[in-house]
Amino acid sequence: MDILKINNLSFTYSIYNEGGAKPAAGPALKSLSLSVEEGSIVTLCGPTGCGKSTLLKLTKQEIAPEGALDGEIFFEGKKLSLLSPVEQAEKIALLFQNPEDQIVTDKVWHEIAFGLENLGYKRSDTENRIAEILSFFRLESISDENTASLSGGQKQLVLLASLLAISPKLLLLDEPISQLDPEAAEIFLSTLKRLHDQLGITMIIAEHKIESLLPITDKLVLMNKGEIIAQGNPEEVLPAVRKLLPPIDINVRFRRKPGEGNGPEPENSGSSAASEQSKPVLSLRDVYFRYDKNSKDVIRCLSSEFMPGKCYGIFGCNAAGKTTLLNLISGLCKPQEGKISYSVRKPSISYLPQNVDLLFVGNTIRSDLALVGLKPENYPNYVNSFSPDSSPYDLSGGEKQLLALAKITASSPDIILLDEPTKGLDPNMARVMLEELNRFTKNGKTVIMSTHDLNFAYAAADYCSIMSMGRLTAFKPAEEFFRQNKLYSI
Amino acid sequence: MIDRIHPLTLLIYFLYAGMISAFSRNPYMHGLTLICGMIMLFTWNSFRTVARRIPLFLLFFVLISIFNPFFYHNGNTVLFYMAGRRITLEALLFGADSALMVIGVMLWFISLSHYMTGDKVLYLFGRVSAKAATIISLVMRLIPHYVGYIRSYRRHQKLLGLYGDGSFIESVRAEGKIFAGFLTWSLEHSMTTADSMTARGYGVTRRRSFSPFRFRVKDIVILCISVICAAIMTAGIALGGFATEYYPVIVLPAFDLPFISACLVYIISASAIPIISLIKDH
Repeated sequence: MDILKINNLSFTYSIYNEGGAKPAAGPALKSLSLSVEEGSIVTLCGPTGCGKSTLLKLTKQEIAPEGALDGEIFFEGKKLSLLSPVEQAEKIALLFQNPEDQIVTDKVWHEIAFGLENLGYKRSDTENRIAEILSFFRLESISDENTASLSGGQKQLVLLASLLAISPKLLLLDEPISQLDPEAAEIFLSTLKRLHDQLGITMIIAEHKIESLLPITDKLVLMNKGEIIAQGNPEEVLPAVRKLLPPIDINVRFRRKPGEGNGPEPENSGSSAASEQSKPVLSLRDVYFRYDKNSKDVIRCLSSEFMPGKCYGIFGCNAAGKTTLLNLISGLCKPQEGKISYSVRKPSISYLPQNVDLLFVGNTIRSDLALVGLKPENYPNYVNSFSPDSSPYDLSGGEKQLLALAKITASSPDIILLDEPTKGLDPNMARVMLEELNRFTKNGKTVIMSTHDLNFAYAAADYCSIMSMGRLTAFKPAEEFFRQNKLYSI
Repeated sequence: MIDRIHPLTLLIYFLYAGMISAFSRNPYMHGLTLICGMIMLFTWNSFRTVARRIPLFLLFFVLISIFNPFFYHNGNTVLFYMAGRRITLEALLFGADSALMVIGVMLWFISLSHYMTGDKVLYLFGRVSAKAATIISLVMRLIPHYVGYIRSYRRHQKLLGLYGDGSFIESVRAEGKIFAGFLTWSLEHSMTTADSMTARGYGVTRRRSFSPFRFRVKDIVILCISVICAAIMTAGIALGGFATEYYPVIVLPAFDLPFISACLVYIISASAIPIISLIKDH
């Protein structure tokens, strides 16, 4: 039986819509038809701006955007608009992309109780549901924690638990894992799988990195420019997806001309004759750092050197200190012992943090870029497609990432630091990012990035290292790094 | 044991035990409040921690005591003259009594703030209004989030050169931009928060606040006893049974049966909980 049936749905945003990123730029959805079988998992994919989110929001009436709607949506054989508000809230749940914005309360148990409180559940029922949910999601041990102290992955899991507490029939997920690191994404997906296997909940997941979702997907739907291009078994649709969103060719680095990156091999000791051609632009010697007087050292006796014209990839698990290292290099934090020295007295350093919102000040993209001296005629190509009068916050996660890249590189800095640069990027955008990084290194800039994205690092980085126990392992040329390592390999 | 008491009971009990004597104008009652408050302090402090605080309390006591005679010169018993003004025994003793009262109340409030944790405060607000509780909970979550954001925001913008050469005017201008930027950011993100709340059914029907706290028989008994004792004491105070006169000469209330029984009622009701808790801990 079909739990959701969409017939010939078309939608155009009204011009005075709050999310005025692309006002009246034609219909967002064009005569779209889709049926979702009860108990199945449907994955929507497609490039940014293809209408995935719009479709999900239209299925959740309370938060449906304003605009001209044509066509019908049926839920359990009933017109969606005929459902009462309580039924809507109870039967259809929606999880958004960014866990930070969705949390309402200050305690984990309270977050899970939130929906139940809203629907006026009796005390004993609420208690029972919370108990069930805490044990199903294995959150019992953190039930008393403050939500502020949780990691991004835990937050998203708590939010999922909070939605499941009202036992919805249909679960909509809007890029649920795009803001999570691989480890957290894996836990999240395995929870989704358990939900599907044990409770048979129907899910519609919008996501552009679909590799990890394929094993649990029953039906794959490819969208582009508001239309469904292909739908069906994942195996059948996958070739079309690959055509529209080709993954990064990891061998791109080997096609670079041999003479291009002619910097010397960096050696940690610097004792050999390696550093004869050019001096390191940045060197760290025996650096120590901790956040609190009484806490543990995050960075422990770290020494390393970075050459101009090279791209460095730093891996390592969460909380290994990668972000702290970038903070130290950028000068946002000061080392408590040891020394960080630069070849130029005051090198210009740019930093793309994990949360790129931190970089935006202006009300519009135009005024924001003007602050760093970028005039419209000098905008990089990849920014040109954004409407310059909209707010930076109206962009999708990946678009924001690119805008931030344009902003930090406007002053043509000597050292560019990137923290998880591919977060939220669809493959086409990741390619833009890769080309930009290659251009910087060609111009003699140093790029240092911390990332979980092995494929991207393999294509972009010249040298790689793992951060562990507060130190960096010796940087190795990327090919060698990926060939020798057992776990970090492609 | 005390941290398991229901928040409402806890609040009423502490307000009764800590505050009632403040209205009595009676040094014996003030002294008893202080002693009971001291016992309460021992339920969550080691002997050493309390002992270390005693000099501070003594200093308070002396300061408040000598403060009064310098401003009030009534009273028949002149101790000495200072700058041509009478310093009287009555004023000094009145000051000492006030000090006793202030410190007694203070001790109870120190313990209250220890036992009344954030979630209990929130629960009490929730009893008043379910909406208020949601908003307070949201605010409690957002404040640390916002503070952290502004801190990083400022540092990253400094790195991007928003602060220019760092001169005063440039800095003021930059701070203005930071503030405006933060407002835009928080508004944009609160839209998603609002959507997430709506999507989870906020406002579709009458909200019922959930809390993990429960009234046990014990909580109800303590609550009732506190309320009844508070009523007895209030009646006694209203009838003037406790009132002490200081000026021109000190007249203490008579040690009659009603007064003594009122004191006993207070001692037993106020100290029973900390004493039982201390015995159980050992």
